[in-house]
Amino acid sequence: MLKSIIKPALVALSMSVAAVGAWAADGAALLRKVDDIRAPGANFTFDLTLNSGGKTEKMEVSVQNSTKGLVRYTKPTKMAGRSILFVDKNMWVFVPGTRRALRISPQQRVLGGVSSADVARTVYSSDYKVVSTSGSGNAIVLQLTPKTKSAAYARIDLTVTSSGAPKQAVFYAGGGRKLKTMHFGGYKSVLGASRPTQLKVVDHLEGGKVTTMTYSSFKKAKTPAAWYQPNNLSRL
Amino acid sequence: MTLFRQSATALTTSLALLATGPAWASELQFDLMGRVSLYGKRANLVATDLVPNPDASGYQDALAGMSGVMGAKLSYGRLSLATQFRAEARDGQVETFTDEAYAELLLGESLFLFGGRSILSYGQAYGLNPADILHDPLAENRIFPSGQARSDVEGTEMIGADMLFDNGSSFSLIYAPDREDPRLGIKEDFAMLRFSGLIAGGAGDYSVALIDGNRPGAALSFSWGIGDASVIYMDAAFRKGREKQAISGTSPLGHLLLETRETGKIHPYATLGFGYTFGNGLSLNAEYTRDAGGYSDSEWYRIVDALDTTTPAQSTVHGQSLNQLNGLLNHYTLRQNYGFLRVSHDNLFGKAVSGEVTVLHGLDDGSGSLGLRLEMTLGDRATLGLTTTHKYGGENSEFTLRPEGDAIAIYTTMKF
Repeated sequence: MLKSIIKPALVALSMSVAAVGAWAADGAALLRKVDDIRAPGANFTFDLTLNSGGKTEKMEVSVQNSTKGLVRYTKPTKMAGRSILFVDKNMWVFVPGTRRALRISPQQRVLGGVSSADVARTVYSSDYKVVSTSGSGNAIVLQLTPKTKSAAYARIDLTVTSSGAPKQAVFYAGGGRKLKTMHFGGYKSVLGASRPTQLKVVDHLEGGKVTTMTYSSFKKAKTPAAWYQPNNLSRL
Repeated sequence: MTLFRQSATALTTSLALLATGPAWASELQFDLMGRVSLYGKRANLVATDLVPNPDASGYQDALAGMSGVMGAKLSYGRLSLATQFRAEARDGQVETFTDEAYAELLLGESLFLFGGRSILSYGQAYGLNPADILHDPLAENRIFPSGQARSDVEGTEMIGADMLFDNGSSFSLIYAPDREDPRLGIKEDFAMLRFSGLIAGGAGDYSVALIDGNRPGAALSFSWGIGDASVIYMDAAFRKGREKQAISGTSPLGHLLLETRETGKIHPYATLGFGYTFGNGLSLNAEYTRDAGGYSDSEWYRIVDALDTTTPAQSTVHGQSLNQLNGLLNHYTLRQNYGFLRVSHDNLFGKAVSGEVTVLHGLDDGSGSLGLRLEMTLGDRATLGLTTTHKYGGENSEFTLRPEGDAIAIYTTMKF
């Protein structure tokens, strides 16, 4: 009698565990697809324009080995020469007048609701892992949590299509507070794949203020290793 | 010093012979930068024991001025030439400065050799920065934000080399012969060997520097990111000798007698800091600074006693003693313990307005300086700023020694 209850229960439990494991594995594979769509390779460059409340900032972004990012401001003129450097878990800002690179946290704002990490980090899988997957078809929701404490967000709910195209990301702080929502749009054929070129960031802490991030001029290029050195930012 | 000189020569020569690699700039590149600032300032002047007659001592309750900076960088192949010229106009008088004029040669992928006048900055601290060894804080025009004031200073003439490594670490060597120490007022052959690195697996970096010159010793910087919003940091200098001189007594004629600078003793000077960024973009920095070379309570009482004795100056000796005191106290900070707080936001009220509140509080005597800055962006190139300063403390406390009390300034800066 007991056996007849325990056996099906164990089978059901093992099937559930296997299913959860499969979902996680599927989720991880899907996240890699998302990253492949957002970043055309490990080494590339692109231009980025931020618009928020009538304010525009332009920057050139270089990525090396997926883990290093250099953001160089080109507009407005008063900010030209300023840069943000991201190396693994480290992030610095260089303001020409201070003549030194200062460590900043990934939460540091760039413009509107856009943080340094939003600009300099182009892949999710370096900093986050998939802990659950829900939905189906063109609205699969991957719940991401940080791999390390230095990640910018405590949780991201990333909605993607079955082919891994990101549609929306909702970012949360440690206490579960909703920080911002990022809408991925402007899909265009860029370097052999359809990639989002326009992101709308809705800042929930600033009454829904919208900042637009527009990506252009993607190029696969390997930039000099010395560019990713905090002590070298004054030369760039 | 000889060791540094020989090391510098050997390092640059051997690396120059070894280094090969593609040039970064294959075509002629020319970058030009210019900035013009206009400012006006009103200050409340109060006669103090140290400066009984502010007008006669050059203090002004109303001030207007203009500052113009032009920077140029020419790069061709492995060579680059950079300059920064500055003109300061104030009350009908114009002074010009060559802040920078240096040449730099790239050897291989990541070795830079440079020579000429250059502005170098070190450390992480926002308030008092012991690691910024080559900088004189009194040279800054603090009407402007730190992102401008720190670079509008005359650089140091030097030769040097920077070697950058792919793992994020770097070696730097500089040699500045005949550098004038602005506080000691004497020349020195200054040299510094510096190693910077990243802490593997973490969000941290550090720098260690060995210093030779009038005040040999070491400097250390460290910063570490904690979580997604916090940063801790430390900047420290451990150098022999003391910048400040204490009063040991008075001569039979009434002149002040000064203690030696204790050239054999190391005086630690360190700042510990914490930075936090809130979800709404507000940034906070809190720092504590300990300067063992600052005046202790007993030394300070002797200074206050000397001020009480010499003011009002009733004789030539009193006048000379007062001049001596003015020279002694000509430092950015004077005591041993400070707290510094900075709160800033880059987009106040969702507008193109940045705001910053700073407090430098002397923990030894409770005096301090409170500053507020608001800066508005005007179009692509210009900013309009307002800054106010309030100094507080008892009579003859550190921040009330000088006549300038509360002050307000407006400025506008245009870049091109």
